[in-house]
Amino acid sequence: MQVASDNDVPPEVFWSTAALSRLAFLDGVYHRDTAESTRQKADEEFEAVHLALYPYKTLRNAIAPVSRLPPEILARIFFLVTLEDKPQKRRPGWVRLTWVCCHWRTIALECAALWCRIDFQFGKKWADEFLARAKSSPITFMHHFSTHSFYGLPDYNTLILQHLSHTKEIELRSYQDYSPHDFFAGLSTPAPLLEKISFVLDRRVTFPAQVFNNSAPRLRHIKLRNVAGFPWAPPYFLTNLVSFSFEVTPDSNTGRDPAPTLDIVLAFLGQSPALQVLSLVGSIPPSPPDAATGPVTLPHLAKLTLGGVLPHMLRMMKYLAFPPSATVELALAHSGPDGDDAFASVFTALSSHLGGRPPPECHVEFLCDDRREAEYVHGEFHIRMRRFAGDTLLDTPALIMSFNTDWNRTEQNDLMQKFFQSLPPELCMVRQLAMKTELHAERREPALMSTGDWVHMVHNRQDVREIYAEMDIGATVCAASGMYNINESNPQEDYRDPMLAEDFSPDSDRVFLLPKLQALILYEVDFDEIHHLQEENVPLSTLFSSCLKARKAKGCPLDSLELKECMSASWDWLDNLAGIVRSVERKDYDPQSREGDGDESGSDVDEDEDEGEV
Amino acid sequence: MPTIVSVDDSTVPGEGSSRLLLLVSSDNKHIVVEEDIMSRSRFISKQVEGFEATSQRHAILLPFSSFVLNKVIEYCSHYRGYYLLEDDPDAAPPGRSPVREWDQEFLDVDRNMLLRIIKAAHYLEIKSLVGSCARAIADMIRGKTTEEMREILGVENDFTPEEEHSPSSKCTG
Repeated sequence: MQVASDNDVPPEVFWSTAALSRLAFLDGVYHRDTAESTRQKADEEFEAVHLALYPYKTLRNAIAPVSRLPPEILARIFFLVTLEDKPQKRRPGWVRLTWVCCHWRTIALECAALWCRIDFQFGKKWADEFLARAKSSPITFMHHFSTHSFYGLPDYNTLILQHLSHTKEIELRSYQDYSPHDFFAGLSTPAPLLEKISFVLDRRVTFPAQVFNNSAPRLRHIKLRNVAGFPWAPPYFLTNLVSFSFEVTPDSNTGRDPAPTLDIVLAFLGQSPALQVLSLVGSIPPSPPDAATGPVTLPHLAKLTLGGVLPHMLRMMKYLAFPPSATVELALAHSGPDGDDAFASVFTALSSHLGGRPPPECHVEFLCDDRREAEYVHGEFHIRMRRFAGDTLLDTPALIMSFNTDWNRTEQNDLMQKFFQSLPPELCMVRQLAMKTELHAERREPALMSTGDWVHMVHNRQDVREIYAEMDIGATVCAASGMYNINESNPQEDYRDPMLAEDFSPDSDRVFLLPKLQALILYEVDFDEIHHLQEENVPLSTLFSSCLKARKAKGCPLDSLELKECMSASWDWLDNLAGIVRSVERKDYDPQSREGDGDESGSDVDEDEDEGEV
Repeated sequence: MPTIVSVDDSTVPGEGSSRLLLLVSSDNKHIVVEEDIMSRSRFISKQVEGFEATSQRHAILLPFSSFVLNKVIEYCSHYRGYYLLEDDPDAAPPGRSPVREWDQEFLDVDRNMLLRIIKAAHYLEIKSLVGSCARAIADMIRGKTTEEMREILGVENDFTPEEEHSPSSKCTG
């Protein structure tokens, strides 16, 4: 049959005519002997028709608004997607873009910039494929290897060395004992396009005598861990750095490099006046510099991280001049600030950085990422101080201190007490105090901070106006809020509990803990709590009500109370508090209506958590 | 190249001192705008340089609708006098466009409008607007499945089964 080809023929007429003509072979379909072969033929026809439709889909795509964007714009959109949707094992990430349609795949395959980031986690085959598609564009190599990925490591390392002449970034991270010595020995050719290296290794490796043949003119970002043989001394070829991080871990099982002196390190840093990020952890020279050495000025420094022994860190800071807006992070080795004057020495060294006239207000956050074993607490502590500018809390911390410590809970916890004792309000006022912990104390465990710890830590400080506290720390601050001093000559020791009613007189001159406290924010506090309090058998809700009444009666009421995800905080109880505290607010992930009040069983909490995860 | 038509002085009020431009959209709407506002557009700037060389002023015909053109003018008016790094021809091109809060609100439009704006911005060589639009489109499709991306941007799967399952199409092993 002649198939009509005139464009004026309506498509439904054209295709039905064509289809009917092809159906002629189905004659005899009902005959038992030919049914199977006819079915097969029909399937083939159907498949052929299906394939014939693809050009129509392509045509349709071609006139879609997104396809009419200039290819370079579409490629740019793809590039932006690649930046934040990286492929991972079993998750293709941005590579899905190449599966959308033919046009997108063509654009993506032709855009070399998309394929420049070579991540070896996908294997050598795809590293080669990416490299081929990247053509001659500057390459970024990423190689994170663990005990399971020894296989093929020499191949990967060879690949990086082969492409060093057009490599822009190298990120190498090992999590175990493998040390790619051959790779490091091979880093002896010039790296004209190299901008950034990050070699973070658990075991020591050594740079060759002339790393990059003393030629890496664009290298501005360096991050090294356990890499020996760094070219600290002249001739300087690593200059004008923007970020520099050099870490040596004590367990790198190496024996140390001959450590550079402080003079040599300072002279090296002097070659990079535009430095914005400087981190020296476990690598601060222990000896003092020559008398003639002056400070190095780093006017653009935004973050200084020092790790190791406190006296060495403090001496290092004396030889660095940087702007007051910079964040100073001190990672203290092992047991944290030893001695009573450790915090004081930090604040003295940073007085011009933290202080001002009038003294600036700040937000202090203690975070204890703790592990508890019976009465012992092993904690990784982080202290962050952020400044207020007017009523705005600045995002960038002025000071971060991190250290590991542990103590027996039957003894006094004086770490935070020492911190506050060493921070006089004349230097810096603490407007907000946040006490956070990663783990809730079990019922039978002592709280991370007892009411006594609160008293010893902050007693009658006049500057603290707002406290945020979590879990058992929140429970004890509620109890401590009603404690008052009965012996002004010894304000830290003689605090009494308001539950001892016979001792309390609203007319007395006694001073409450934190007399200027205005706001309390509590997170995941159980108001049915009794085990972490001194007054056993009295629920926290009852005790806290008494405390708040006592503060109000004495003329220092709480203005604002916010409860987030707290337990056993009934609406009736909160209604009663509303007469004592000006503003009471309850914030839950899934706020319950007042009608639902009272039904706060464990199963409800579980449901909330499930919903949050979804 | 755009079509250029001659404009008499009465069409462009204040010529000379106030430096007004006449832009003509594809739907033949005449829009008068201060040259200073449109100076962010490299394309317009080059046109104006051409006018100065010939001492003649012209209307500039543009291949997109007045609706789109007005959006672009709104953008340029908002950033009038602002320095934006992406529009600096002497600055190194930024890797990714910065997120500007106003831009996010400005570009909270439907898909087709967004695509029209980026095309117009590309034509007019306004790099900062191209960058903001590209980021907005990238945000729409980032993390989405292949099918979701097709649906969001209105394209169909036109791979034949053979192409779809070819080894080189799967790049993550």
